[in-house]
Amino acid sequence: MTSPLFSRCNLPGSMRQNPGGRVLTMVFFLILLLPLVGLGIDLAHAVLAGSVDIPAALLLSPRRSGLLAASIGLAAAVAGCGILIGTVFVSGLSRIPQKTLFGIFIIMVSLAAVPPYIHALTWSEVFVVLNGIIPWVPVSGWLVSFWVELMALVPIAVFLSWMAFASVDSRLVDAARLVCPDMTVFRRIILPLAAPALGAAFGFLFLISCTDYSVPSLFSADVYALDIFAQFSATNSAATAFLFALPLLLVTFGVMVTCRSGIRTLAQIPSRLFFEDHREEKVYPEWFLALQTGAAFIILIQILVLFSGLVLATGSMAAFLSSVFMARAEFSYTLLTVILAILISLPLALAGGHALKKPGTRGALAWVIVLIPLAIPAPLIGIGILPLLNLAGLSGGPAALVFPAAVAVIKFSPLAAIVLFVQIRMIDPLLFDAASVFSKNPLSSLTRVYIPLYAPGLVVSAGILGALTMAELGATLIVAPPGHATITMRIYNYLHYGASADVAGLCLMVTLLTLAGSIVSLVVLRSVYRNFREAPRQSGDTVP
Amino acid sequence: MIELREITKILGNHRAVDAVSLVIPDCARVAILGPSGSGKTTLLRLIAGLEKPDAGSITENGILVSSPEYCLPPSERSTGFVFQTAALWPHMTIAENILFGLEDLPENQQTDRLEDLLTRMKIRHLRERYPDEISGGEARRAALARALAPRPSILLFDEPLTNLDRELRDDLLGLITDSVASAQSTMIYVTHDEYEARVVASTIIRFRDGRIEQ
Repeated sequence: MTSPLFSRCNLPGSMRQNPGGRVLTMVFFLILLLPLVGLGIDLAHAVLAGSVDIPAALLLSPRRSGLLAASIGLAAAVAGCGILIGTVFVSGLSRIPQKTLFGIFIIMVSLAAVPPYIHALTWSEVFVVLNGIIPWVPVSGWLVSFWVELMALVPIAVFLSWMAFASVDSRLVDAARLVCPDMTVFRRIILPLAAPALGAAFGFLFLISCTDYSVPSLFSADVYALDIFAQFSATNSAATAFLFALPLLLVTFGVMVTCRSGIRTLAQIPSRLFFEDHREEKVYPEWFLALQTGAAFIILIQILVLFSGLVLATGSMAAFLSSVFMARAEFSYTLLTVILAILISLPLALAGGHALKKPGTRGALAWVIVLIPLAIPAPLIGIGILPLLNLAGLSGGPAALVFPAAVAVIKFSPLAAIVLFVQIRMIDPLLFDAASVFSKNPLSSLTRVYIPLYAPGLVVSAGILGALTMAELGATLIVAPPGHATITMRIYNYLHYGASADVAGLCLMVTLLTLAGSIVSLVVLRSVYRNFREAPRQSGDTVP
Repeated sequence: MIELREITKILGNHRAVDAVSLVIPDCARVAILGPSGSGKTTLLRLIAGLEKPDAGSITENGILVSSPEYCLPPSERSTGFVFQTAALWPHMTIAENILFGLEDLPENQQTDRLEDLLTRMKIRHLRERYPDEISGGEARRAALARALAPRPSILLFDEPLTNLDRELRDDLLGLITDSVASAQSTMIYVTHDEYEARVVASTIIRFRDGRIEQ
């Protein structure tokens, strides 16, 4: 019997793909490399035509050097502080009952999906109010950008720190607790063991912050990623923008390669997040408890500012409905883009997830390719595929309507592939073997074995793709066809003129949609969690 | 003397340990024998202080150490624990693993104990190695040395010979028996293997579904 995508021959379970699966895998990797291919083609064309001044484009002027340093500094500060808050907060979770813990997890994941520009809107109101009371509090600039970006990324930082802590074998912690106070155990055992995963989490946050310009640009902080966009707008040359982006790409690729194995490790952890049956309150000194409370307070403030800011700025239900109605065209276009991105991404990501599981060089190469889109600044992804679209004669006409979905596939399907990789490795390969043995009908095998087993990963991937596609700005802004805009583009344009009831209403709608999507995804995931649960690693009765 | 009174632990919706009462005299060698999933490990973790009971109490020499309201931290209990796996800290050498629980002692005493244990466990040559550089049997010896190092008054063994071949298991059983005898500690040894229980213990308690069966 052969399943539609992945069949078994001599290799166990899903390790071996049939030709259809191999084609999908190749298409997936090709799509991820498209921006770099497009940029390469345009650069070669420009060099041959003599239309690009390479030394000038590569020369790091004092202004560009300063900009690069400031961008790296901002990203490092945001990532560092985010991981610090996440680490301290998560260290206090042993005091929280298991059921409440799942609630906190849902809130954190849902908030992680809220677009950064919405945090920018609510915090800009806070800073304006604070400036009215205390005149030296700034309303724009690097410090405000740092704080807003930190607040936008704190939920992701908490989530990643949570995973990093889950990577520590609880038996090693127990062994240390028998001979040392909990604070020493935290400092000498937990932190060193979680350090690789925390380092990868830092790298992940750094990449997100360094490649995105939406928040800094709203607070008049000029970052390198924004300058790439500006450079392209000024010259309309993808080659020039590519050369201009190279210094930043060197940094982000360096971080990506350094963190690659750590990110791979992080991706293997989520199954242990909730299934630790033995959780006991740790005894920490007062000063550390104060730090934990401080971290929890910051997160609480973040949540309060987000929701109260949006509700207050929207004003009334009538204003909310009116702003949503006015943007119905943008919502429709966003919905179309989201659905397309999910439908295209999922089969590709599933094939990619299998490729990530391969051992040896092929698996390592697959990981590098999958992480590449994370290291490319968002505008450069849009700029990179434009030359290819022009070459194929697709830059105008109805085909242009799907370009935002296409860039979303390039940018976010790697994350879906990582989620599906996690799902795939949690499934006992013998289940697929059993399907091969007992099922006479491939369709029945697909619908009754494969899809139910992949379901949790597919649900989570769809949730992530939906939320991120809706919030995408940097690449969409470049490829969106004239006369069509996603809701994020409309909000971003409004935000340059400051907060208003209309924009707050739209942001509230986006937030509610994001939260609803996240919660539905997580509840579905929870309901089918048994598919996600790893088999106990050893015999004994630690798992009741 | 360790006294458990009506001790209960609920994990999820499951009563892992169900109103267990037990008295273990000083220097006793007790084996708790039962099938997988019967709650043996949870009982051991309750005695070590790694879990807080949902009901009942545990006293050591008449002093309350565990109840639903109070749990003396594990590090203040003079308890050694050998886990199902070696559970050696991978970022520390074998010597550092053994010395970790001795940091309150003067340096010369630390060195003496380390040398003594490395010799007794026949792992002197491994002192500067990391856990991923030694065999499974050597790791179990190192784990035993780490548990013995602080000279605890109670030694807890949680199926320490799981997944070992017969020869290695017999070798380690002898080592455990000798070590416990010379340490003059109270030993509680959890296993599902009757042979192991008979070799190491003078008293065998049969455990099933969270309760003492016999």
